[in-house]
Amino acid sequence: MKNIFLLVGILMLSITSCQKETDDLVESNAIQSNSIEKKSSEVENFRKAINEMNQPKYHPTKEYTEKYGSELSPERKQILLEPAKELIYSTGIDEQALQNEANGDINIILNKAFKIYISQTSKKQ
Amino acid sequence: MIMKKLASLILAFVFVPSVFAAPSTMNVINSTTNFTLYFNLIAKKTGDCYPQVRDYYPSSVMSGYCDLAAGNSISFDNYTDLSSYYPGLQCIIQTSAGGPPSALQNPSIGDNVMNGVGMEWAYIISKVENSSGTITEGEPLSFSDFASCDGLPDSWYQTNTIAITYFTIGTSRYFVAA
Repeated sequence: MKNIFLLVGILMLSITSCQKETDDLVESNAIQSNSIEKKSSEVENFRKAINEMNQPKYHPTKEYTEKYGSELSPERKQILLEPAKELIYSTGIDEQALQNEANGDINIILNKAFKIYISQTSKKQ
Repeated sequence: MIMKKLASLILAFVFVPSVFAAPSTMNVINSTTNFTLYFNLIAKKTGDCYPQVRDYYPSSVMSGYCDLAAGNSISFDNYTDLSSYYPGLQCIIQTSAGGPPSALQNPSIGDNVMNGVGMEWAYIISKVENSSGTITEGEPLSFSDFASCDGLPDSWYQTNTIAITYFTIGTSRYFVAA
């Protein structure tokens, strides 16, 4: 009789433990899924910003190209800037760290964001 | 004579170390949702127009063009890097205007020539294909630092469908279909 109680006890403990592990796994998957969704939304927002700044109305004038070459215009850079920052923050880099790294250079921020965007959308071989 | 020049150029850059700066990082981005982009990229000597190197992708579904599906991107520093996205990619070298193009070369030969004379990504030819299979021939585009060679624009577009641009941000170069 004692053995039966012991066996039932062990079984109940095992079931509770498994249940907790399942709950932990579900919770962990939910966090991961939220993180992926969040990351995807930042990638998507940056993609939309690329599409926006690529519209013909923002294409450089002949005068601009003669003066500044192929460098992306300040107006087009501004369209990309906020989504670029959000994309960078989504990788775990905080605002202060980005400020320290970029030191006011918008090109550093944009090239960094493009690097992240390309890594997230890279053509598979 | 031209073939001899081409052969010696290729041989020279296989064995001679580069004294020029490496070319910029090139990024090709297709941020459309429904167009496949096909492209070939040509590198040229800075401040000159020849020699030039272009890629050729033998396994291409579009006569030698590299393909990039909607939503995909690639980034590379040289033709060898580019061949990691397009296995079997080859290069064609041309030493002068109207001169014969070389036979297909390994991308590392193209890189050696590119580094040996100080070349940079100069212009791109492209086509786009929409989800219905309609193919539109794009205008060749050129970075402004090669305008004296080609005099080509740095963007083209179809109203309300697709716009393709070439631009730089600092030292990085971008080719974007959006």
